[in-house]
Amino acid sequence: MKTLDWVVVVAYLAYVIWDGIRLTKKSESAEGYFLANRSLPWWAVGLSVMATQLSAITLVGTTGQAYDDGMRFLQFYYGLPLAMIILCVTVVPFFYRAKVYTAYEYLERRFDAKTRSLTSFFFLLSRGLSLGVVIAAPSVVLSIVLGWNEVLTIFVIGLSTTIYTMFGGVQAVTWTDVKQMFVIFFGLGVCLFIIVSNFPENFSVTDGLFLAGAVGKLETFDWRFDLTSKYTFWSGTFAALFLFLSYFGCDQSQVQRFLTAKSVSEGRISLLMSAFLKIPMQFFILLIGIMVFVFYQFQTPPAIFNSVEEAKVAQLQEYQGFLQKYQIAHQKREEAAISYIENRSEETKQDYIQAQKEFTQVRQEIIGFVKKVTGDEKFNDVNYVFPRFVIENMPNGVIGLIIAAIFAAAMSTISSELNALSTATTMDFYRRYFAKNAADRNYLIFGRFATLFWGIFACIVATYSTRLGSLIEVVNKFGSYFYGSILGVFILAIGFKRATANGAFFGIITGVASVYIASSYSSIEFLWFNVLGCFVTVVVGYLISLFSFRK
Amino acid sequence: MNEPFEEKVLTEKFSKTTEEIPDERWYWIYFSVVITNSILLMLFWLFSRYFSG
Repeated sequence: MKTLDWVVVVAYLAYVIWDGIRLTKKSESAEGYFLANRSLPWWAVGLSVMATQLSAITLVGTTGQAYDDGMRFLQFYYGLPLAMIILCVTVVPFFYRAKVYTAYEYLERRFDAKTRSLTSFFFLLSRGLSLGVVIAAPSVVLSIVLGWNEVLTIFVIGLSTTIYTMFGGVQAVTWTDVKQMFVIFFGLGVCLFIIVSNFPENFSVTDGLFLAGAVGKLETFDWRFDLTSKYTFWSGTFAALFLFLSYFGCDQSQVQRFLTAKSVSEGRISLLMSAFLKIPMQFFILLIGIMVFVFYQFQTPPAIFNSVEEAKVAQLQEYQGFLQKYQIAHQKREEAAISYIENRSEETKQDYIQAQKEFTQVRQEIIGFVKKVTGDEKFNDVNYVFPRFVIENMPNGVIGLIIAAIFAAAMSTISSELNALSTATTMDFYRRYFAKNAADRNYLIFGRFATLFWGIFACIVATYSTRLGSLIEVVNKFGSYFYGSILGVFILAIGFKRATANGAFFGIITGVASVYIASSYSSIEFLWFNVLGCFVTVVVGYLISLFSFRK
Repeated sequence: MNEPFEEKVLTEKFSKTTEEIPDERWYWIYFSVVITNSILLMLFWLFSRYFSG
């Protein structure tokens, strides 16, 4: 990074922190701090909903996944629009009119305190842990870019977000989210433009898409019904529907977004913004990963994108042998790519597919070698593809801009989640059990300290999460342990009049236990855990309710 | 605690907000979400078919 890049990054950071802190004066009451006095316009809430979901993991992990595995990941979002419609019809008016601070507060009105506390506890646990992963992703990027110590990086990014969230509350979170969305898409737009401008002469984007298409990188539909397959049409449409219903409808980090809207209608429209824009937006981000893949058809990509791990094996003679093989495979692939573009026949296509297969095989051998030498069986460099590409191929200033965009993506998610964790801790535990009728200021001060606590907690978790494979999947896996069951308890609450407190309480415990057993003893992919957890919670909860109701 | 849930009690208790969009307009909005996304997915499918040759 050069001076200009540093100026861009530091200017961005300074502005965001200042912008967040200056909203402190609008957050001088508990309702202002946690719900922005229910005064925000739909477009700001809608952008905040999208910014909260669009984390740095989405940028770093998804572009890497597109480079490695193609656009199959897009299927993950196919259930999202339907989930948004269901939520607009059901929970948005319900929670909004209930005037609650947290989604779990409603469960006490419907069931009892223990159901509210247990559900809120599951939220705190799963969200607190996943927040650690959300902080870890940009820290991974920075540790490569700046050569910083990873732990130090985690604390720098985590605590800087904690500061403005702690003072500015949900007002700061929402308005910085809006600005951060613009930084992210401006950065990505510039990045895509530069990648395409760096294609060889007489080589168009269409040519690049034909190359990616030939090796199956543009596949956006996998019709197989296979519970052990990660991203298929069915898992994305059906299993992910449960995940999104739970995430947007029962997870405080998202529920709190639409609770800050001016009215039920504005809350609904804010969610429908995602229903319209999320899939095209994700397509655009994946397309950047595809363009990186195309770019590397004509320049040798690093054999290992993680430069720290690469340095550990770089001097070994065996690795040098692998590199020669890798270089030959790349040259062969480049020649096959050129032939295919010059003459798009079935024969040249098959040659290119074969060359790509051989290239991938050599890369897998190298990754296997790194695993063997470092002893790290979970080694995976998917998350390093995009940052390494940016650092090595983008001009000065643009590197800074993209680093700022990654920062923005991370901070927009971290701030919303910190704010939600703080709200749940304050309202579901502190106010409920320790200070029922305390002064408003009391909750405000406690909320600020809770934000600080969760910021530090997430930073500590982050230090352990950087080795857990593709970060985006780790986040979703964490969530999937609890999401289905939490959704199940809300379905019991809203949809089953006979559901009782004991039914809901034991239903959710059984739901989480069933997911734990399924994840330990089967190879079912994590998205299906949402369906399982929800189903078990509803069935067990309803049966117990019927039994206890009769009694 | 074990009594059936009375939705009416809660509904009456909670205040209703003004400036709401009428229900019949929401049906059209939801319908447009479904149609837009269906067209989008169809375009993605055509996109991948076209470029995979």
